[in-house]
Amino acid sequence: MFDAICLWLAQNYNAELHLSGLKLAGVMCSYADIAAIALFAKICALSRSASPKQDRAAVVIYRMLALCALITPGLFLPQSSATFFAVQFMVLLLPYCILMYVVATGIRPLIKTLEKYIKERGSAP
Amino acid sequence: MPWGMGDLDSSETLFLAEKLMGLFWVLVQQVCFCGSKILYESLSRGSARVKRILFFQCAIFIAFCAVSFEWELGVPFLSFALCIGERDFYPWAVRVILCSGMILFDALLTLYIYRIYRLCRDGERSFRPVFLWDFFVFFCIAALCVGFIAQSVSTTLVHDLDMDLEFTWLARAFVSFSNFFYVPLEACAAAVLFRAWRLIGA
Repeated sequence: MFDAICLWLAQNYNAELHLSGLKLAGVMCSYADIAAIALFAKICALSRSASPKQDRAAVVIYRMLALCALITPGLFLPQSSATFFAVQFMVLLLPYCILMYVVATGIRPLIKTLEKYIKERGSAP
Repeated sequence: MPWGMGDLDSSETLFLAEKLMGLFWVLVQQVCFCGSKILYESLSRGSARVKRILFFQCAIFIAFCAVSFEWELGVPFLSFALCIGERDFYPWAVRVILCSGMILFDALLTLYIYRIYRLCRDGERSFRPVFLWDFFVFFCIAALCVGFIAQSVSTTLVHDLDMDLEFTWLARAFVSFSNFFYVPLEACAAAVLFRAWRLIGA
């Protein structure tokens, strides 16, 4: 059965299917990534004291993610999977760098906040 | 996220660029996974085994790099095994392995995000053993990756498929499917994070 499936794919999968699939999946994945990163940044923001400097960092992060969301439809433009790959990398490079920054700076305060939250929730009647 | 390379020129420089970008995405997923595992252990056990987690994940990333750069490192074990006659399956096997690595760490990350949300929702600091579920996810994705590589090599040899046409499209199909597999994972992660944000922010 698997041999038949592989053989069918090898003989029927083509450039048009490949590029269409990449474009659709690429755009959906990008928006899902941006949504997840924005939500995670908001959760981390709950655990920081709202100093003006940190608020500015949060505003910059959300604006950069909004910019990423605006340029994501650009993934529909490339006419070959090679240029699609280049556009995809540029579209995802920024959100992923933001994500790693948020993870690196937000984990420790988040641990303290969630510990306190779980303790309060556990002791609530 | 998985990428859609494949119809660039098969020169070594471009293959090197693909591998570097693929490893970048694997690294990002691993960093996020490490963060979620440290967070979960801190909340459920009281303290996280940070050094152990980082050591293990560094070893895994080095293994991915070693598999990807066998030619450059001069340690051809996978490339030797996948060079059968005049057919060299190694380049596409590297792409499939890196795609699978991204999916694996994203699946584990989504699982840990859900575990952390459940801890916050239930309000209990109870550590539950996680190894079995983690291993199950790893096993499923590793089986898919190894199974696909083995089956595609077998189908190519048995049916004498053209390497530059039929086998290449078969391998590209895997890359494309892994892109689609990534979508529900990220959507689940976003949904759980949204519920967590509503819960904690309320």
